[in-house]
Amino acid sequence: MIIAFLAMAWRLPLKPIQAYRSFVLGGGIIAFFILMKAIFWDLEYVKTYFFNHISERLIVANSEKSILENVSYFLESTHK
Amino acid sequence: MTDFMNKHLTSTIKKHKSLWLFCLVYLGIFFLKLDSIPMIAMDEGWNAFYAYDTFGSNPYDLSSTIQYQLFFLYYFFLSIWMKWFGISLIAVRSLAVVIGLVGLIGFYKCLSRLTTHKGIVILGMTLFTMTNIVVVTFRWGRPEGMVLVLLIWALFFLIKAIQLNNETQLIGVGLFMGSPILIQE
Repeated sequence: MIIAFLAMAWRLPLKPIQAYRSFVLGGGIIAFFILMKAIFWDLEYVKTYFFNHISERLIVANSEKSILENVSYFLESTHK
Repeated sequence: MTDFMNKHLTSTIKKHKSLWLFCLVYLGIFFLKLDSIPMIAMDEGWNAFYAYDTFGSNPYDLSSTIQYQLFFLYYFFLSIWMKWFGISLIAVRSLAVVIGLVGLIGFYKCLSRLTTHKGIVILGMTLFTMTNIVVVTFRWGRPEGMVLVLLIWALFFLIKAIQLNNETQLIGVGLFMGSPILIQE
């Protein structure tokens, strides 16, 4: 959705630079909130669980599995 | 002050008569049909459990490693909802109905901005409430409905930005398009 919006925003009858700036500002507020929450409230969780969860599913240079298998594992994996 | 509020409320109800009628019909049908789903999805119990465990007042140490700490919004609202209305399947599912109501209001506002023709607005609202996505997601204790509602409000701000030729409205689009990430991991 976000990529689609970024791709089409320049076609809007608005000033493109200001349009992109406003959109990124709105999204940036959310990103900033998540970052602050991660740093000040959930640092231990981010260090121990969150990064592991992501990195386990993003390793594509694994000799045991092909890239396709890794992508499939990532798409089908769940946090539960 | 009270007179002013009453007048304002009355004029708002008169102005958006079709919306209030739709909201009443929607709430009536969706609340009455909450227990008509012939199964309980595993995630419904799971979501309720997690909301109760993390944001509620669970006295037992569950030592759970499953966490949604960064992306918490649905569970946070669900825990508040369960504190107010108790812990039951109907209570958990009724939050989805209310979330749907917020989406319905957003959709009405989008349509009202696009056309002044009441018939088209009513037709649009009818089609929206009858879609299988709405019928399914706004009756289950799952977070997907909340994502849809936030995207509807993002669409509203996009329409508003184009109509008013005002780029700052796109801050709203960024906020509502970015906030679904907070709902669930």
